[in-house]
Amino acid sequence: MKLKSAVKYRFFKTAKITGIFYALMFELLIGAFIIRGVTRTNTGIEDFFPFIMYIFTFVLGLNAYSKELDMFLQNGITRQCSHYSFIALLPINLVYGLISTLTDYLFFRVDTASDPKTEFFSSHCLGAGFKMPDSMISQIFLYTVMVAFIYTLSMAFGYMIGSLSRSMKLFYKVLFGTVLVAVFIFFVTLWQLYNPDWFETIAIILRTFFLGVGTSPFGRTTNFIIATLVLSTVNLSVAHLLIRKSTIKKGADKK
Amino acid sequence: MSIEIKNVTKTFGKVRALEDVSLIFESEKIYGLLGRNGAGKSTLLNIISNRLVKFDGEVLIDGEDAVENDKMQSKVFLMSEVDNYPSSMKVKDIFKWTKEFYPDFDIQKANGLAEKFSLETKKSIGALSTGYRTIAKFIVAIMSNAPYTFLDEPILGLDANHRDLVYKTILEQYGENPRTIVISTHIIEEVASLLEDVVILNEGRVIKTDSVENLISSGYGVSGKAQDVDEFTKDKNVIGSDSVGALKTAYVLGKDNITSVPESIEIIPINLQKLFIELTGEGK
Amino acid sequence: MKRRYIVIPVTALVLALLIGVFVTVFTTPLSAYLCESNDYTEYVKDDGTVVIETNDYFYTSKKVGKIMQTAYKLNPSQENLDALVMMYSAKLYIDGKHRGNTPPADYLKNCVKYQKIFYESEYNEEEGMFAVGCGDMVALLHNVGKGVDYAKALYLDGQIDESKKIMEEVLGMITPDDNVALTLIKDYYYLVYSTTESVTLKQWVLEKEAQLEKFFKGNEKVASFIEKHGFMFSNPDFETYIDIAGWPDFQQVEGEIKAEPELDN
Repeated sequence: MKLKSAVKYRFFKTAKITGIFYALMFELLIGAFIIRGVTRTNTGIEDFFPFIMYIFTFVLGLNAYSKELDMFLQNGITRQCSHYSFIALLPINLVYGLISTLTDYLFFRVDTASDPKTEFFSSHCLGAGFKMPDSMISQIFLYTVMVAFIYTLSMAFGYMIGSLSRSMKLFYKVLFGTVLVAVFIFFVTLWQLYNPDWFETIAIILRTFFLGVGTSPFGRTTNFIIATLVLSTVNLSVAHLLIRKSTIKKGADKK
Repeated sequence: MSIEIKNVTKTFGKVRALEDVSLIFESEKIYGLLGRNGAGKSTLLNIISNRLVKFDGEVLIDGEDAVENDKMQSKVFLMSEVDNYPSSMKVKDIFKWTKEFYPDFDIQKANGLAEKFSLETKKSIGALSTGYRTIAKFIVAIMSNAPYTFLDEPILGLDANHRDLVYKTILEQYGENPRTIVISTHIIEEVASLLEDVVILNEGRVIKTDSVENLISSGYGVSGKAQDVDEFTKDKNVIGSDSVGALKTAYVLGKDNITSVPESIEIIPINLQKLFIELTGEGK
Repeated sequence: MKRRYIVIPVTALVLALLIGVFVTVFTTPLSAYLCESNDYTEYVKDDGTVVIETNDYFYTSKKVGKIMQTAYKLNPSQENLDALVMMYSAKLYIDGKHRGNTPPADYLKNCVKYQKIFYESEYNEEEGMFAVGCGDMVALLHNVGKGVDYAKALYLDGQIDESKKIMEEVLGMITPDDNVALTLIKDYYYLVYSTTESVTLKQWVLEKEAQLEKFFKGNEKVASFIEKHGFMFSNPDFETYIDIAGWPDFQQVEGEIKAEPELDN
């Protein structure tokens, strides 16, 4: 398999996009840091930063499917190889996780009422009986690992959406998107108005799925990793099923 | 060592793009894959190069199934009409990555060729004109040195000078590194001199596959006064004709033993383009 | 398309889903449920009346009791046991009954069952829901607490003799210096004295009180407590018991706790 070449290509493309993204982000963060130093109030970017990363990794995954597939098919790389090369790229999220953690420690620890890490660890049910590890190294390690796996899931999800998008004609794409939004609005409305019991059951099952055992932070992190890996695998498998039949995007139906 | 296509059928919805196509592309030959618009040429090439995988039949490259086969697909390079490179990718980067995926790709020669064509390799492929995009893709394909190189419309949008350079390059590269080159085109006249063998597709079916020599010698033209031509060809297999005023040229298929030819008519060789036109005309 | 190209993703998908279900079921104490304490809420209406809204104290045991028991059977871990012990406890039973909540039919039986396991188990004090800090006193209190909870469950289930036996074991854990343990131990005797209609049992409690006064004779803190309250923990006056124990009013009738709401206005 030309897996090495495919991974190399993906890596270079991703590195380029990542470099541009982080250059912009750090400009923003430095600006926010300075403003915060002067005004002694949060600028708001601190709260938004984790979501920016989730969106970034989602979009990376989204683009990783379609754009690269055409290039690979042009160069004799099979769909299987394309798919596995994407999986081989996923560990890059550990780097993203580490950068996020260091960003948190560098930019958000100083003089802020809350920071993403504290929010992350002390959210209601994560915090129930959850003992924060004492050493900073442990905290950094845990936070890095947990966000890295969230990014992995986000990227895998984006990749799956990319695969769905490519396999569907425009009409079905619009229909699918509409149905998805409608279902989401329906459930949110149902929850707000009636808050049925089974909602709570679902919420609790999901919390248990993600957080699992006891109070040990390492135990909960392990469970969290397993949960995100399970969901990532589901997304990647769906994409794998779809990529098998994927044709080159342009001109495949030109006779 | 060959590409075997066995009973390949491909439909797009209700349209049958290819029907029970069987043929062989042998090694170290230059083929012409000829057909009218919509004949199924690009579909066939896409199937061979793993770009379309849902079809009936079998494609074997050197005896192995071609579908999703990295090893075999690394022997195939298809230059297609459509652009599959990211539009922002520079030509020099395309060269670089082709080298990564096809280790036999000759970057030095590619750059040399780009210079000959006056192609700016620092430009992105999306920013090039149609002609220069074709040139860029052609250079990549021909310098890939893939054992099976497919060129789908390699002269699309090119001026006469560039077209001439393309033909020369094909022959040069073939001479230096003999391999199977398949040129898919519907502009036959210019490319006919390059071709050894020809496959003619019409409405998804293979209607002719033979060497150019055999094809050309399989027929002849009869030219002269219309009346005399009709008289001469009345019992022959006439596949088509052209008329200008009282003069007529009829095209006859078959190696007839012509012994006596009236003075008023002339026997002329049939060219590939003409043969192609007559074989693939309306109602054929 | 070769068959293996569908086998790999389908297998991965099925495996992932199975692991997901397994992880959810196998690792549940569903401890998240226990985050949401079922307490009552109180608010004041515009006209000044105080309204108490009581949640069902048996909500968790009704909702996930069976699942939790199954989870424990599959994985008898400390975490799963912790959850069951919190779900099936004497205090919850009494609080719930007082508020008019209806316990599941097998509640007391499960109470006894899991409190017994908890009492008899080796406990790692540094992990689990009931993680305690280091130190011998805390470990002692933990063990005493387990025994008292078990004894209370037995008592409520009508297994009086067995509950007495367990309390004897608990008393065997302490020394005259362990006055802090009395805070837990007294709870059992309060419960028995204030709820039983059996004169014999009330007499037994008084005898225990005398016995323990003698046991803690040299202990200044206990002496000071008795001087202040005038008794060890036997309380002829139920109202005073409520003040000290902080428990609502109730009476034991024919072995069952009959709730008598205290907080109606």
